Amino acid sequence: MVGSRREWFGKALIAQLPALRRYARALTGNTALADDLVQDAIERALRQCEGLRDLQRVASWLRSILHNLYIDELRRSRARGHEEEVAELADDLALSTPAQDGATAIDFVRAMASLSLEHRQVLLLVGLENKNYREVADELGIPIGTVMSRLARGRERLRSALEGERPAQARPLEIREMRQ
Amino acid sequence: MNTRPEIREEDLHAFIDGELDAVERARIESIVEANAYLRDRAARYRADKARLVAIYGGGMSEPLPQAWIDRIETATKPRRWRAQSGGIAALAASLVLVFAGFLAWRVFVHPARDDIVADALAARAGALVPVSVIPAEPKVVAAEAHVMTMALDARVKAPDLSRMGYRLVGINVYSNPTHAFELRYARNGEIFTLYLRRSSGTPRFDQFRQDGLRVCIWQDDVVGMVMAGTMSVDEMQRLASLAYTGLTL
Repeated sequence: MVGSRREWFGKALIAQLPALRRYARALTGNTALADDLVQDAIERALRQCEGLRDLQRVASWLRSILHNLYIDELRRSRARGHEEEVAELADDLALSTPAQDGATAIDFVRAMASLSLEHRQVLLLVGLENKNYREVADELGIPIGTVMSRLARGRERLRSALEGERPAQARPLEIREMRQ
Repeated sequence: MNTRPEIREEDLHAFIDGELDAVERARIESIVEANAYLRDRAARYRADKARLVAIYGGGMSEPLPQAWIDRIETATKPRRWRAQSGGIAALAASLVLVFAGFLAWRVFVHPARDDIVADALAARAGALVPVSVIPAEPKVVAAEAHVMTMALDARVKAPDLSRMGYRLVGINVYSNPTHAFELRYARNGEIFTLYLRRSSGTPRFDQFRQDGLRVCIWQDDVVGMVMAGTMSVDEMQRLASLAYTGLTL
């Protein structure tokens, strides 16, 4: 059973990669960084696969791994004095969408990047991964009321950024708080 | 009335996301409809939500780096399934074992075919005639697990899918074109079938739509499994995982 489970875990992992990569790109706004994170997440998942008790939860488990890796990367980047670069994904989107919409896509990606990580995460789980509030709360290990307030604030700040208003400053504690 | 009303921002978003019950939804909807400011905000949030999907939702069919696939396949390389143990010998005197031995012998005579999906869907559609129909009674199903173990040369049993609301309603046993088992599950009138037989030897994993059904094939070098039903992609993925977890003894 152990050997077979590992094999099926591998197949489930491969099946989840397109969605994980999509989520990583949306979360980071950077295609190269997203691929690096997915690759690192694969390695960590293979090392820790025995810790996944329920194969049905593989998608949320992988997102959690990727998220923690992203936080580590942000810490390293800040220590190096580098800021997150979103231009690459924005340029990709500009190339893949009509010119008129291209500017909108770039604006949107930049507006998303201006949000705190916790707001981006909830926006993506609800909007992109189509999770309901209960599923998001379970995945993040937070109360459903917190999901609702993060979602409301995140969307409001996204809208403000899109309308050219200066978004509220992300709280510096966000990385510590995001650790699941 | 276009002023900002007394409505929680969280409730507006729960309304947009379809998270409210019917009564609360109707209440919020009437407030939103009566207020131009809220109507405009709701429209903008809905547009942002749609734009998020439009911008980030693509790329699912983009080829993955082969190095990722190779790394995972290498790390999770299949191991041989455990062959049946001496436990079967203890049942030698029983009628179950006699039947199992007969089926197993027939399996060796008839090697597995490669068009497992076509056979699975034909079985589901009733185009194949089962040699026997096993009722979903616990003792009979337990005995059938020994039969399947013999026939498939792998320690298997009917998985319990009750966590997802599916209950086993019967097992159809086929000998044509090869020995196979169709485990039939039901949930609120929906039928989910799990077709099992010996593998043709070619590992396969795929999920697709065919003949109006969601179909998932999962085959290694020992057992081939085809699942079919009318569920979503995500639900099929969860069912496939649950079926696998519960398949092995």
